[in-house]
Amino acid sequence: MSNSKIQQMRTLLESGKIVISPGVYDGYSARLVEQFGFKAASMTGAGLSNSRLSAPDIGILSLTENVEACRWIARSIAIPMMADADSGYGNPVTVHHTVQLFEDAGVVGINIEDQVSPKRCGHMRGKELIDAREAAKKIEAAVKAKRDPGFIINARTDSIAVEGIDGAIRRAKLYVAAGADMVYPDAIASEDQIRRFVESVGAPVSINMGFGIRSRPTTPLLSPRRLQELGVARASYARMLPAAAIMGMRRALEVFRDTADATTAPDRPDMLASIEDITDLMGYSLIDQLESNFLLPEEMARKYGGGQRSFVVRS
Amino acid sequence: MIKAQRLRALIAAPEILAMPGVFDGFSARLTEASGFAAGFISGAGISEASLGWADVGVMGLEENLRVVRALAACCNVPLMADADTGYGNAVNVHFTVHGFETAGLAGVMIEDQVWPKRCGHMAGKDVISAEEGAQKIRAAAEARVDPDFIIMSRTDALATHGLDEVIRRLNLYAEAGADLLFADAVLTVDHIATLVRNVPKPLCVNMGFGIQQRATTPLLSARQLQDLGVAVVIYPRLLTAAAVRGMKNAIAAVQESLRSGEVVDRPDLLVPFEELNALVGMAELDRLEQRYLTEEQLRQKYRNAPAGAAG
Repeated sequence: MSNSKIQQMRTLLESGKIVISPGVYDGYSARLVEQFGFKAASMTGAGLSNSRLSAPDIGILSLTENVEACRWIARSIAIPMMADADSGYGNPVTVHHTVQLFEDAGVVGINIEDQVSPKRCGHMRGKELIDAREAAKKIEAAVKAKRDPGFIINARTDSIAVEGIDGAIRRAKLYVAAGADMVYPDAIASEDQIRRFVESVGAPVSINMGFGIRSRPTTPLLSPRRLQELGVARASYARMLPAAAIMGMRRALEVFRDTADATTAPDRPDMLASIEDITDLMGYSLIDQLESNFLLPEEMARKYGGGQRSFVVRS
Repeated sequence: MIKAQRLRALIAAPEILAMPGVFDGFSARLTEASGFAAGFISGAGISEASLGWADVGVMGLEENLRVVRALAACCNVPLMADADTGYGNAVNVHFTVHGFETAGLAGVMIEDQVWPKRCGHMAGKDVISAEEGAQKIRAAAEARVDPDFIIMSRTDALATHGLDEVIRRLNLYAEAGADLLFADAVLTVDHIATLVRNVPKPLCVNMGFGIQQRATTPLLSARQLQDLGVAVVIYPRLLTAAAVRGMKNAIAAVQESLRSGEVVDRPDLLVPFEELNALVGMAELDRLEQRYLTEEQLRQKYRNAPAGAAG
């Protein structure tokens, strides 16, 4: 299963068309990305830390928690998903185990970044880097730890804020020489920087478009078409879905709070997904099918009587 | 524990206690930031969000505890958890309650469905005997260390046995030590009024989506429920459905950008970066760095700029 997903991702990256990979962070976001027809997803470490631990993305999420989350989410969708392995959770020796754990979890590749641990979100201030030679050794260890040679090592550099674009290009070239399959300059500051980076590094480049449909102070918002023209191989939208979910929840809470004293409840189907939306999304049809295939007739009769043999009560 | 004491007081207060369902760090922090006094952790929500699978008993005790522990740690308001059927028989319930209490929750809900359970508003429910259900509640009540820890007993018997059996069960569960009584998927206002009159302890009602009708329980406002004598109302589906709706809107906008080739800038659909950072506690992080990192560490991180991760 995971091998064929790795193959799918490799095929997408070799297609010559930019791979659009929305960031996912939970079961809902992952399944929505698949349902809307995207061909690939990327797990956001920040979203995972924020949603799963309710903690900021500053290196509180541990290796095993990250792997465990990825295992569940990856197996809930059929499209390939890349994971975010932060700084690799230690030195190059740790990275060896990190790569194999993620590969076993069913993701198709991982990002490894060159920040000092504890790391922080690439669009925060106060970033620090490890020595470029040590970072290259981490990438080399990662590449040699792969069991499926198709597994993708995406070397992320956080160096633009610290060493400028030239420093970032120098680092990226070291990481490519160490065997990285793709390089990812986070918090890249302009279209011109993206062009220079792509032209200089000699490997597929992944760009983080952050919110995707909302600008932020760091990387400028570019359309997928423009990124493709610049030669970018993959664009991820790490913050889009968490920010959209929060907006949805914030609005609903506002309406809800403001009408708590009303004498009737507001009916606002425009603000919420319906129960059918949710049960379709979460794959209830599979549960219905498994029940009718495998439960004994008397158990089905006890559960459903003579009624429709389906989980979902439809209106 | 102080949170359990607060939750107990909120339930006992004459005003109805309204608890949005929370399921992840974002929803928990938003609920607290919006001024709600307590939150109810939706078992369906955490199964769907953290595991990516439907609420049909795939999630076990340990996965549930892992999520609720993190949510309880980030919130100052008391949270109640959903322990499904208690993950076994009455003996298992003893250990389950202990797990939730030590995880920092203010209370726990235990239901009388047959395992594997399912969402209370689905078809095909099946319940254990009332006597076994009562023994589970007795085990739960006696397992808690803090006598204020809330045991909420839920019965799913309406769909299978009707309202009289629901009343009989809730009375048995109250006698066994439940603090808060809950009949899921009630079908009419009359059911609610009848339940309030016929049970000996505070009643909790599930209003599902809160701001959207559904096929099972009719939608009433918190005020209407309070007038009926209901003590607690939970909205387990409000925030999961709002998050899914928000994400669908954003995905539709990004697909528009993919079709047209143009940048789409839709600040109406996403919260800004600053709000996201504030919500997840970046201010606290800055404060901790200032207090505990050495001068040299701060210099290395921020060079000559003023310190502060969020910029």
